[in-house]
Amino acid sequence: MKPTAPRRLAAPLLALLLGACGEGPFDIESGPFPRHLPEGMTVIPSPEDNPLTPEGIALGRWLFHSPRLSSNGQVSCATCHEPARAFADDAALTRRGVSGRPLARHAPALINLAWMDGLFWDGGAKNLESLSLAPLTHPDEMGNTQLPLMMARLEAQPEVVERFEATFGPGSLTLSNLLRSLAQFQRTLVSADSRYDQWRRGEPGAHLAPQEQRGLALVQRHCAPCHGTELFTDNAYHNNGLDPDEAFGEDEAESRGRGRVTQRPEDAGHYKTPTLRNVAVTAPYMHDGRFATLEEVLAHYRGGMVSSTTLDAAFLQDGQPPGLPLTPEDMADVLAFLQTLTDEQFLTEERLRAPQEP
Amino acid sequence: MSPQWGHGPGVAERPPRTGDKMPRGKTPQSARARASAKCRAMKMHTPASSFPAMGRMLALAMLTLLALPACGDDGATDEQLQTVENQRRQLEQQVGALETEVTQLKAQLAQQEQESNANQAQNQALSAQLADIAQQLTEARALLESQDWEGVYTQLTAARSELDALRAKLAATDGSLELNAAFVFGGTPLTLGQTYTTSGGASVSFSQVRYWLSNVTLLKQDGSTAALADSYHLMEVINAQSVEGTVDPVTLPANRRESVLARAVPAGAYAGIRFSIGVDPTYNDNLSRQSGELHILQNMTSVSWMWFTSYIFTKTHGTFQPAGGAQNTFTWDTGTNANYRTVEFAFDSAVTVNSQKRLTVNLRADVANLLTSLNPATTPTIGASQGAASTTLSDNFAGMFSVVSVENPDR
Ligand code: HEC
Ligand code: HEC
Repeated sequence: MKPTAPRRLAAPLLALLLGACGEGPFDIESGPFPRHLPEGMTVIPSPEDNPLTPEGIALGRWLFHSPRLSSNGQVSCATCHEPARAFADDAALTRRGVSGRPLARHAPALINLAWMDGLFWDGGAKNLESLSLAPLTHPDEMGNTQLPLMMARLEAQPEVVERFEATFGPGSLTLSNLLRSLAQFQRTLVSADSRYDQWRRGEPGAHLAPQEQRGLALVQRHCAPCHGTELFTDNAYHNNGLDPDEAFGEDEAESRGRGRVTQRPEDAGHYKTPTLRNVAVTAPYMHDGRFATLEEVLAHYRGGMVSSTTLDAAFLQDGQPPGLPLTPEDMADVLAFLQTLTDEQFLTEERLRAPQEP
Repeated sequence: MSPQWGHGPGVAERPPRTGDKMPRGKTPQSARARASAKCRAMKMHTPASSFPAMGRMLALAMLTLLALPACGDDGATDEQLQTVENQRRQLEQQVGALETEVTQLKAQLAQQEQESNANQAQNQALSAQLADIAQQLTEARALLESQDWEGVYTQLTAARSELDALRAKLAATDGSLELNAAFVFGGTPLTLGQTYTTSGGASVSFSQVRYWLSNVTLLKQDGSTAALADSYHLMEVINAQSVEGTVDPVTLPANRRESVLARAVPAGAYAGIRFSIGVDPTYNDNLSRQSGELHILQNMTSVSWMWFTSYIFTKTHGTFQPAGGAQNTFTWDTGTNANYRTVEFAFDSAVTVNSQKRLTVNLRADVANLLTSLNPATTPTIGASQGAASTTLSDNFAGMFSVVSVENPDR
């Protein structure tokens, strides 16, 4: 993670993006595509049968922000995934769904999803196309326990029909197209323009202070096995010592983490490593939002860990309780570095916000 | 012309002309002798045919008629004239027989057109060809009137060979397959709500049984396969049921679906059949993909499963009462890639699929088999997380099929 890469201007990257999308030129300021990809990435991956198109992304953006998708017409995806918080929710266990009941897990930030194989804290959803069915149907999220009724409700709104037909052609208001356009928009939730990225790309005027650079080195040493790569996550599942074995539960218990999906005892208490990008604005933290601040998170890694049979080996220390060997100075440095991962552009970009209703 | 289509060469051989050389070492004695000599010669290189008699008869008639004027005899005897008349009638019959054949094929094409929309263009081409043949036969009749034997013969030859070509085309044209998998419990057809006794003496009744039968594939002797397109079929026996969780009552109609009709089955000879229970990973891993009947709105997904990307492959719901025990309901659903199962059956003898033949494969789907090694009293729920039980149940689904009969009649 050293700034060795040559300066990269927007133009060649745009050319690559365009190549990947097979679309004509677009307006950089109002276009639907991100200006930068994380270092080393050349395209936004998408399935063969759902390539990114400006129209599909635009429809997905509208759907993502539209409360019409919920049974009571009041909850949109953005209700729990707020753009200004990198699409995370500020409640530990949100009550913002149609029922007002708290959810079982924290609503995470939605960042660089195009490079994620497994979605949800346990990776139960295999792709963005399939994932949306979960919030759409969950009685405590968007409440469409009967999808045919949701489709009938949408079909009865000429404006919705028009938007689909303008995108996918006549008769195209289908659940499949709805899922696909939502997925397209979410693949454009790319964050790669933080101060760290600008410094990494060697952009003029970009710099990291010495403390921030020390923090980066510490992250690379202690956190990178999991929060590594330019995505700041390995997108894999680990137990970082939050709970004892007894707390994991059995079968389909949410608390079983990855083990719920694989049904393997060795995966109990494992959760997907969240990205550290924008982490300064996505509090609270962990799968259940138990930590309100990054200081609490670092205190956990330093000395608050709980042992269990599935605890990751990275935290085992000879003759000492599990954790990471961080001094108070280290923690201050790490905290300083984490701030540099905040991507103001991503948090404020017009292309990701609710479109103006005509 | 190929013999395998089951139609003799008939008139396809050029008729002998007066100047034709006789087979070496044979002295011609009479037209009849010559005719039968030639006939034998012809028959020798005639491929096996299902209508050899017709072919020979026609050839014989032609030879006699053509040979007569060449014999140089002044007054043909009454007997000879009688022979000519008989044989003229035979020619006429031949025209009639071909006309009948044309009529049958026309009806068949019309039927085919109704059954499948896939091969419209092909069907139209075949119909046009049939119209041509019918025209040739009309001309043959006119020539018969004017006693132009050679003309009749030419028309018949052309018609015969075109008909054979057409039949060859039809035989290479996609056919259809009917796959029946009748729901039974032990020996009797499954009725929802009826109480059955298990081999262990318990009482069981079912409120619904549903499963995805998918990826039907016919197997060739050489190991190659013909996979049917869009092959996802929701097999079920369900009562009318109101759908849970809705404000306005929504009802699913009662249904009994035990049959799959697959069109556009590639023509060929097949030695067996293969199909799967569940949905293959390509489709199961991405719920926005649709094919055949496979669709997220089929109620074979579940809200309580949405956190986990998979269709529900099978549903078996009912009530169970162990001998001397209490009655309980059981709800068994399976899904996930690990529970995708494939079964294969060899046919006793090879079958032919093409537009001229029907293939019907009759199976029994014995629901009693689903209870093998599983006890609904102790395992009332099988879902995404009952790993071991859903493995067993998926095996039981794969094991519930047996072949009753395979029918392969002509259309
Ligand atoms: C009522 C709140 C709520 C609503 C509305 C909601 N979500 Fe979520 N979302 C959550 C929660 C909670 C999670 C974490 C669930 C888990 O991991 O088990 C989540 C997780 C996700 C993830 C997984 C991210 C990752 O890193 O794995 C995606 C993607 C997502 N939501 C997209 C959507 C979309 C698209 C919609 C609208 C169709 C939507 N959400 C609506 C609360 C919500
Ligand atoms: C062995 C892998 C591993 C290592 C090493 C590790 N983490 Fe984590 N981290 C995780 C996992 C897994 C989670 C999510 C756990 C959960 O929610 O149950 C997580 C969660 C976090 C979160 C919360 C993010 C959010 O959005 O909720 C932060 C912040 C974090 N880690 C920072 C760090 C830092 C800083 C280090 C190094 C000092 C570090 N981690 C080391 C695996 C690791």
